[in-house]
Amino acid sequence: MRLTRAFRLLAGLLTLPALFAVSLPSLAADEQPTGGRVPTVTRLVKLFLEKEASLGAAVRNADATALGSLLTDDFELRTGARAASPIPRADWMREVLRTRDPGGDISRMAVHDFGAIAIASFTQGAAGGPVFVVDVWRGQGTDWKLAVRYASPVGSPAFAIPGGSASEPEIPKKY
Amino acid sequence: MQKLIQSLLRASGLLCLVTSTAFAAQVLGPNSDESDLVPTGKGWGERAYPAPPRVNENANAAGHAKPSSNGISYHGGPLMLGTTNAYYIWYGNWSGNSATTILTDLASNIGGSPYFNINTTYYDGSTTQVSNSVHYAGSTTDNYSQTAALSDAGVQAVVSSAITSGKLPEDTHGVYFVLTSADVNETSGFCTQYCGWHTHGTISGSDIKYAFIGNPDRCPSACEAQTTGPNGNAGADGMASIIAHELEEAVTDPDLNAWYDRRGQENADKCAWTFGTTYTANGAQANMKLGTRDYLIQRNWVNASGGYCSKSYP
Repeated sequence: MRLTRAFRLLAGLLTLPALFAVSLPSLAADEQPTGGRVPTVTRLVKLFLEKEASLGAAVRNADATALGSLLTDDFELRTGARAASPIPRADWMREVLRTRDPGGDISRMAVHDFGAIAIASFTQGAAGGPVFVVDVWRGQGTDWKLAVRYASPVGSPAFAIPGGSASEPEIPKKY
Repeated sequence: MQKLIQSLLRASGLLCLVTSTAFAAQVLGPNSDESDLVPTGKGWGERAYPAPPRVNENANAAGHAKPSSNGISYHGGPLMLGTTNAYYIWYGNWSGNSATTILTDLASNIGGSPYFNINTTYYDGSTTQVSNSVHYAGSTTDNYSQTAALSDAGVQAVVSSAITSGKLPEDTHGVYFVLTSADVNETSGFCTQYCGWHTHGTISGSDIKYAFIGNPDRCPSACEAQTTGPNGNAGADGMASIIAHELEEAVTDPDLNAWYDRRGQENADKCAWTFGTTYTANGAQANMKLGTRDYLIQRNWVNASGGYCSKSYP
């Protein structure tokens, strides 16, 4: 009897998180957005959001030609888990075109302009959790092509990165 | 054993509550109900803060903001009604810069214009509309009191100092613009994420609305639509559009809880970097005349007729 009751309690322990995981997307969908921090983006943020959207569309549509036109010939992906073993262009294209998964929503984009190079950083939703992405775009004439993508999980703010402790509080504002 | 499992169960419940709260703070992505969205190619809205108390009389039975058919919704907060007073705080070194007259003329003439009249399509819970009325109420200077690397808190300190020192009056009907010279940075993302921003804060016990306006000369590719300007000063001409943007958002969403769409975009956000038809003035592009000067000012969102970007209303 005690074992049965204990088993029921244990079963509840295991299923509760799953129940919450199923309910979370609908919770988020039902809530209306609050007065959060929404950027009036810079001209470059707007431009590169559009480039990232084009990348995403090419992947979703499994359009290898369109995807390839957005990449340099030597494009590579470097992740935190494989910092010394980049995923080359062909392998990356094959995998994303197979899954047709470009990742989730993009937010918090910042763009650093260094003339012929622009570095766009942002967070993006993913099945395993949010990812911090740094895309290096190379200017080619009037167009831009993605040369390198660096990506790693967002992680916890408590994770100690040298010099990474924020000293100034951010205030609620809108751009 | 049973007590241990019960403890673990309680801990699991707490963890799920924390997780759900954290999830609610993540990005709001697009879903099937996007009838009030207009694609702009911009970033997504983000819920960074808990939802404010619902006080909107127009809210539906579930307590959510009533969706508008014009692509933007009212969330119950106050608007700036009547005449809005614009104050400038010239931060840094503006000596010899024609921006001081170009932008003063802007503030003196934007009220009453067909452009600013767009904001009269916005109203509060009593259906009182925003007025097409802006008064340039004065300015002061600040000689790098918060250094050349301003933080968000530093911007508020600049405004607070101007008010508490008596250089500018304490005015809840005012918007205080901190205009920075080209050698001043704002460390929370000027030039990389934004060109300006607005917010509100309690200063001397009053709810004060203020804005940061960065100098596009610091990052022309990010914060200027063109490398020249109709008034012969690319930086000032670029700031003119940013000032207009933050002003109309401060008027229609001063406390960050009034008018915005389901992605969190305020009225000017929905039309950012769009200018409509333009003409040539002094070798540069312009799209409207305010007073005696030509300016290139971004369009604003009209809250009527289904919603659209425009340079004027009606």
